Amino acid sequence: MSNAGNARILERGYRKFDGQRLGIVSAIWSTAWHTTRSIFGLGRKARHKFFPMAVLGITYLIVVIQLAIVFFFGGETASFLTTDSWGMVAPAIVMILFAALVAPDAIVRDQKDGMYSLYMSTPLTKSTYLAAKTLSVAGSILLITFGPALLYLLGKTIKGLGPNGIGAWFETFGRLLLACLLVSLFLCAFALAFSCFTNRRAIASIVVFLAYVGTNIPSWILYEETTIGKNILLINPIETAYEFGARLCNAESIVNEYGQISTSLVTLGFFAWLIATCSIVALTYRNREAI
Amino acid sequence: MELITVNDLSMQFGQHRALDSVDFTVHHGVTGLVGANGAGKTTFMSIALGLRAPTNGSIRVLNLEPVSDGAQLRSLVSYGPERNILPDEMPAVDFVKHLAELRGIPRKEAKTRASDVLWLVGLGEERFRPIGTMSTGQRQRVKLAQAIAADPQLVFLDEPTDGLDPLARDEVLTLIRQVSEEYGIHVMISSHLLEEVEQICDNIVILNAGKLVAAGQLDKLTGESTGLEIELIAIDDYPNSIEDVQVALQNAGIRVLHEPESTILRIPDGSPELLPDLIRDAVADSGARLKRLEHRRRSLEDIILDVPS
Repeated sequence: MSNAGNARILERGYRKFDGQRLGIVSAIWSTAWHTTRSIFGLGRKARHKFFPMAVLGITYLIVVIQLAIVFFFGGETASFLTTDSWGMVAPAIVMILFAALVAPDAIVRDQKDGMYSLYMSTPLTKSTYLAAKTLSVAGSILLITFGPALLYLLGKTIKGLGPNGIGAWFETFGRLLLACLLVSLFLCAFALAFSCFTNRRAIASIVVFLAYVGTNIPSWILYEETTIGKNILLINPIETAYEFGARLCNAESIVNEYGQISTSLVTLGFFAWLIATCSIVALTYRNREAI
Repeated sequence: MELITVNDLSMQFGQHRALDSVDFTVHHGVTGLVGANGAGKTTFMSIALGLRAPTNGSIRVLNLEPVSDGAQLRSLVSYGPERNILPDEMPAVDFVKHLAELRGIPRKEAKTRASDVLWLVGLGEERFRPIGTMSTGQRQRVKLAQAIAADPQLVFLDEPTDGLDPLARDEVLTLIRQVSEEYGIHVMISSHLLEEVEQICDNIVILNAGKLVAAGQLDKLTGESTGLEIELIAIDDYPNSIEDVQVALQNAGIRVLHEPESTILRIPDGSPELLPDLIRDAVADSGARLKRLEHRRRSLEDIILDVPS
């Protein structure tokens, strides 16, 4: 019996391309998708998959186990689902750990393996290149900020623990989504800002984490040991962003001391940090030679 | 057809002038951008790709202005970088496909074109191998493949034979020539190796410390005769035969240049009508044997050396 039905032409030779070329938006999506695959180690060796998949896996495993307990045993085990929506978002330390892992992989490797020069020789510009990288990194961080929180919200809804009414549900969902989007965007900018100076991935990850520690500890020392007051806590970018998320969700403050700072100051602090970190990235790339 | 038009182009980096009031036009075919390291070749390519705004002057590539029309221009041109560093873990086919997509080729089409173009450069069987496992020659082919996969009108290749042995270098140069002749893709290669440029280029642009030395069609630049060259074979029975030919021609009023121990005589002042007859008689009388008699043409080296330092 003939196998002609399975036959394929393997080599068709070089052909002119007469079709319509896709534009810059397509190039941005292509770069973002390629970067996201790289971040999660898809198409790469197993060791590159380990850390991002482990953080992601553990985060979702905890959610799934908790929801399973609630659904199988019900009763008092459901009490944690009654917490507000922002309380279900992964802790700041998990988010910054994840950001420190994924952001360097997105931009540092391009410097090291020559891809940056090649990207710049395509229709991408420095700003569209950074847009693609931001899309990829912020999107990846969104997986651990919004993803688990959404599962909790759905579990809560199915168990009939609120929010009550369609309007309230969509308001909670909308606030949660907006908060996660903005906080993910900030974490992305923060991680990119502290990793764009080097072409060593491991060093970049360490610098991002040290930047978190280096702003966290001094802010608390200054708050507790001086008379500057509670507003000094806003020099801690990650906790400020986390508190901003809580305020957007109408949720309780992450730490009592932050609860004493006005919402307008928290918002101002958050956007000041967002603009500062974005500016660092933009200025670094403005001076970076493409070829 | 004019691919690139450059007018009074200058590029200044602090105190260093990388390009100094350069004027030239690049036509279709393969063009060699020649110069020593630091001559301004890579700077010129980055300006032509719209990645740098010139300090002074203007440039048009494919009738587009590189800085203001950069994104549009870079969907029509490609670039192969000088550095041999590529993403090690990525299979060649994924790498080529990704860059074709970035240059506007739809995903499915990019996938088939990536395979086809890797077959074309001789890496068909190797296309699923990670680039990091490939030799320098194979990496150069991958760079060429990514540059032509999106069917560009013009390709800039920065030192495409860097690090290759002579055999691999000839193969890559043949491929570049093939890409231009068979598929109508215009190519500009930068190189500091004059012989490889002479081997495959139709046009040439020579830069020296940012200044233009010469530009134009290779045939026209090297085609002007600079006299005659006579190569003789020394015969043991007539040990002075070469000198005898020299003396005979000088006695006939012809200026002859001869370096000691050389078997070549040079007549720099053109060719009077009777010169072939005079040479024939002088060689016959001296007992020498004639190996070669031809018009001497300028090499690229001559063109560069003619420029006052």
